[in-house]
Amino acid sequence: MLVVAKLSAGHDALMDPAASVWRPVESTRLALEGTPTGTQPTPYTRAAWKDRKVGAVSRVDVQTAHDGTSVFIRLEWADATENRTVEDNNVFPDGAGVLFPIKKTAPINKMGSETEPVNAWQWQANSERGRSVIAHGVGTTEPTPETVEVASVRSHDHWQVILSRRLAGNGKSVELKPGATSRIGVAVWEGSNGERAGFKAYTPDWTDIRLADA
Amino acid sequence: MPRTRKGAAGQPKHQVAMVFDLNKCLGCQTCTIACKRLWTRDEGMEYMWWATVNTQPGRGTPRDFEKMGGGFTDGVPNAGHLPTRGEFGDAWKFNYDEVFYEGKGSKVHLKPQGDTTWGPNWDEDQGGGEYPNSYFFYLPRICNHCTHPACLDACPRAAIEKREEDGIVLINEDRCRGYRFCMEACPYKKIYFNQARKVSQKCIFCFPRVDKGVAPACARMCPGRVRFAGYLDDPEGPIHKLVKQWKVAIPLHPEYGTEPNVYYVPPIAPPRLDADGNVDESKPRIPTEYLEFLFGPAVHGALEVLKGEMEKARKGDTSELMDLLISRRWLDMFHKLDRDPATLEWTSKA
Repeated sequence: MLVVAKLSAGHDALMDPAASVWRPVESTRLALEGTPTGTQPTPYTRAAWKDRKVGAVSRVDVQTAHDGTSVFIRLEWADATENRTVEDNNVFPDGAGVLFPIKKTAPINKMGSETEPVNAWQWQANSERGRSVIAHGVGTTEPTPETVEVASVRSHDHWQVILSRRLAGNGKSVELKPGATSRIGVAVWEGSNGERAGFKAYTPDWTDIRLADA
Repeated sequence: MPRTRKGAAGQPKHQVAMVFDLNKCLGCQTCTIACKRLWTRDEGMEYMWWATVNTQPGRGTPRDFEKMGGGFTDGVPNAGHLPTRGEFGDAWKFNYDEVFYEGKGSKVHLKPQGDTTWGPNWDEDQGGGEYPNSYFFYLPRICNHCTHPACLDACPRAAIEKREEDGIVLINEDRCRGYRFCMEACPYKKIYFNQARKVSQKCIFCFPRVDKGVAPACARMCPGRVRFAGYLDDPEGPIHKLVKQWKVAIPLHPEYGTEPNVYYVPPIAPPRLDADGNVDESKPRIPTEYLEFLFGPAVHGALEVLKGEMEKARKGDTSELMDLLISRRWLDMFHKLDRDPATLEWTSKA
């Protein structure tokens, strides 16, 4: 059970991946796997990566906190190549995301299902803005209007990324409350490996979380 | 929310199509500029040429696209290469500021910056063969709005649709995330990536014009009367007659498996000359094997029909096919799409 600690540090400090406020926060290392080719939604995407390695990043360190108003998720992983652009057609940015089930039984490896949606908060290295999407299965993501704040720092060949959103959703996305439980999944896209869409490294199982009381 | 692929499972009610007569194309590029001026002038679109005209034999646009995979083999998708901006022929940057605005115009020449080793029409007019029997012809290409589009099938977000009313294939830019699998999957490599907007973009068959009964700009602007535009299933129109009835208009690279809806009347070059400079009709100037490489075995029948009707017309007989291809009445080339765009009133509501 991963505990989302309650911290009283200011919003700006919590949004800074390098801030000292994050040092004492417990870190959980999650193993990542490449998404199986069989879960890709089209014959082309199943055929094209048949002989390629999916999921270049094999683990990510996760720290979480909330300040009573917003949740902050800090992700750190090793990545020797900094991929911040789409400067050519065959260039893709690094990315990361966290996934929450809106319906508790939502399957993580299928991005939910028609009746069991999931909510993802996403960061891409070529954008200063994060994105919130809900999905009802692979390939069905739709944006939701909430703001996902993101911040990223490069440090010793590592990415350090913060994704943050207000605890309350908008009705369609995940609702988080102090004292409540939920589950998270994490995904990382390695730009230099051409990873995008369903081609990513991800946690094959949910990790249970509990938000500390306010 | 179920995944929907409009038109992928069923067939559209009608199918728009074009026929290009390769015996008439002069490579003037009016079509490519018509499209460029109308659709690809915004940021991120600088290197895009949704309509292209290349010299054949030649490497095409993007360079060597015929070796980049994609399409289908026996219904199974082939992995494809993602063409880079350089392979398409990137938009060159020039030192305009220096020459025009910084007062150095009398000292510094206007010149391109950066890599200038390829452009979108770099091998123009090089062609093939040996003098005096060198040969080339021009090949105009647009998105083929295929009946079995590899792009639509590849997109993991179902962001590409085939319109039910006319079969026009469109990328929905609200759903597109710029994953670019469509660019890999298209065997004709007619899709571009817009780096500024982070979406993939391609020829839209001028659908806002087609919706009002106006032919696409590339077809209407052609001064050579090369391009027929209309509905494949309209028996009164020239497309149906040339493709289905006369069978002289055939698809490019049918082996790619996507059933393209742009058809070509294959070129018949002037005859060869022998060593003494006499006409030598023992074999064609454009090698038939090359035409078969481009158009498949159907090219033989198409050429036979063409030659037969040309001969009829030379003898003074009437040839419906020759009349169709000559197109003395320009508007007949567009049949149901012959409305004058000057009669349209564009408002801010679509």
